[in-house]
Amino acid sequence: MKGNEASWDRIVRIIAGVALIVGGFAAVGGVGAWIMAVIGVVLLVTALVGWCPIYATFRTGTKRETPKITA
Amino acid sequence: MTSRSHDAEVLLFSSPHCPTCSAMRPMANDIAASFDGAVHFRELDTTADRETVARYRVKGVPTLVAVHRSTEVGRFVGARSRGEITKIFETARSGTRTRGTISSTDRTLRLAVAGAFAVAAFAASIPVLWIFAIAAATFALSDLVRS
Repeated sequence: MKGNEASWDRIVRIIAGVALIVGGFAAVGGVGAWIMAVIGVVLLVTALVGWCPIYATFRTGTKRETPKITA
Repeated sequence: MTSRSHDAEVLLFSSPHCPTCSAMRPMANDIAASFDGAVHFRELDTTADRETVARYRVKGVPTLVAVHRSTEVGRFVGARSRGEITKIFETARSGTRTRGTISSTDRTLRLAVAGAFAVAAFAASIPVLWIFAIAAATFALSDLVRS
């Protein structure tokens, strides 16, 4: 599985993931907090592996590719 | 696959219009000098030496390949730090194959995720997140344990 996230993208996901999990339980509570926590966990997992399934679906991404050798 | 006169060799596949290659070239030359001839360093222009590019199945630049007694023992693709370039020279010298070595940036980000899970587990009091934190830390450090 080839990564499709740039480093800055992964950092944003880490910050947003923690904010969603902690903020959800601190400020929202109830079902809303759990929904935010699940989204936060998904963001952290995608940051961990450096691969986003939504990017892959649309064949896009934020990672700059290693220049290909052209004939 | 390489010249018989060199038991250990590091090949840098580059191209003239690759800024990352230009940044890595002086570092690789410095490191090669520090190995005092134990590891031969060679830079190959992928736009000129098509045969070697095909032989080593190089898909992009920069690519660093460690060769020990005519056998490829390690490969890094993309920008690498001085420490990582040194590691590929050591790999070429020792002939010990590197397996799934991750870049220092990737390792740092994986450890940051492990820390983020730990912070979330502590702050939101969700014990299951500690498992995610441990799994993320293992994912970050697994290649060190294997090598």
